Amino acid sequence: MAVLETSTEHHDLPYAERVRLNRWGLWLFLISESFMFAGLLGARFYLWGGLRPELNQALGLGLTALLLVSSFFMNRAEVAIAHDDRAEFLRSALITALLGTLFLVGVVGFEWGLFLPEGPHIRPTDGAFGAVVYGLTGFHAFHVLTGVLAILAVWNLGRKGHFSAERHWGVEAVAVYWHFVDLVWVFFYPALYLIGQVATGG
Amino acid sequence: MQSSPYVRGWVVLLGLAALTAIEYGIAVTSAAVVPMLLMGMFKALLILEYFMHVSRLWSPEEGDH
Repeated sequence: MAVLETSTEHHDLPYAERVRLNRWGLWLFLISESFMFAGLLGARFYLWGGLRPELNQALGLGLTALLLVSSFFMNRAEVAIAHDDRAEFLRSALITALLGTLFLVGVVGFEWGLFLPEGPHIRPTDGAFGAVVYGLTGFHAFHVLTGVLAILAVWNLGRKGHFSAERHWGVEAVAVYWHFVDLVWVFFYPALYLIGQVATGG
Repeated sequence: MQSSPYVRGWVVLLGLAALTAIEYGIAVTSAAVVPMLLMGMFKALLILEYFMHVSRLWSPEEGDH
């Protein structure tokens, strides 16, 4: 009963106050997520030290560019709905989802080698290198996948007339989550592709 | 009508692209770790402030809806 009363009280709050509370809830969730990603980064520096495996540099840079541009379009979608520009919101959200999907194809298809005839050049079983590469890219790719699904969900709601300049918490929440996924990659990219000397001779 | 509301996004994207290019340049020339991490920190700050609107947590009236 107490739970029901609390729930009812929450819904009686003004919209702005509910958004304020939701914002804090989302950020606390993201902070808890960042502990996991920081742990993965810590594992990379502990296990690899000053070395790294030879990964495809062009692919790493391309994946980074895809995510940065997708963040630009997600921000554009949020700005658009905040200005009641529904057509631009729908267009930008869809482009973001497309870029996120391309990122997933790049990671799974090429970094993991599913689309390569010769197969992957590094496997999950290749000791610390394989474990870290697949651990970091795997956890991150799962977040990209959930982000793309969330973007498609708000795109579909927007198509049906949900959201307005005054009420678009759903769009803001998905945008903040998507930018968080981008933020994680900002640190994963140098950790995987740039920092350290390339290990030679297996 | 491509007017002011979208300008900030372009500026942040250009900033992120420039920092990524510098980061990559450092990696292929000197491979110095600290400058690369600094570029990452600058990129993170841009994303946190201008894309994730972290300051809305303290000043909800800005961008409230």
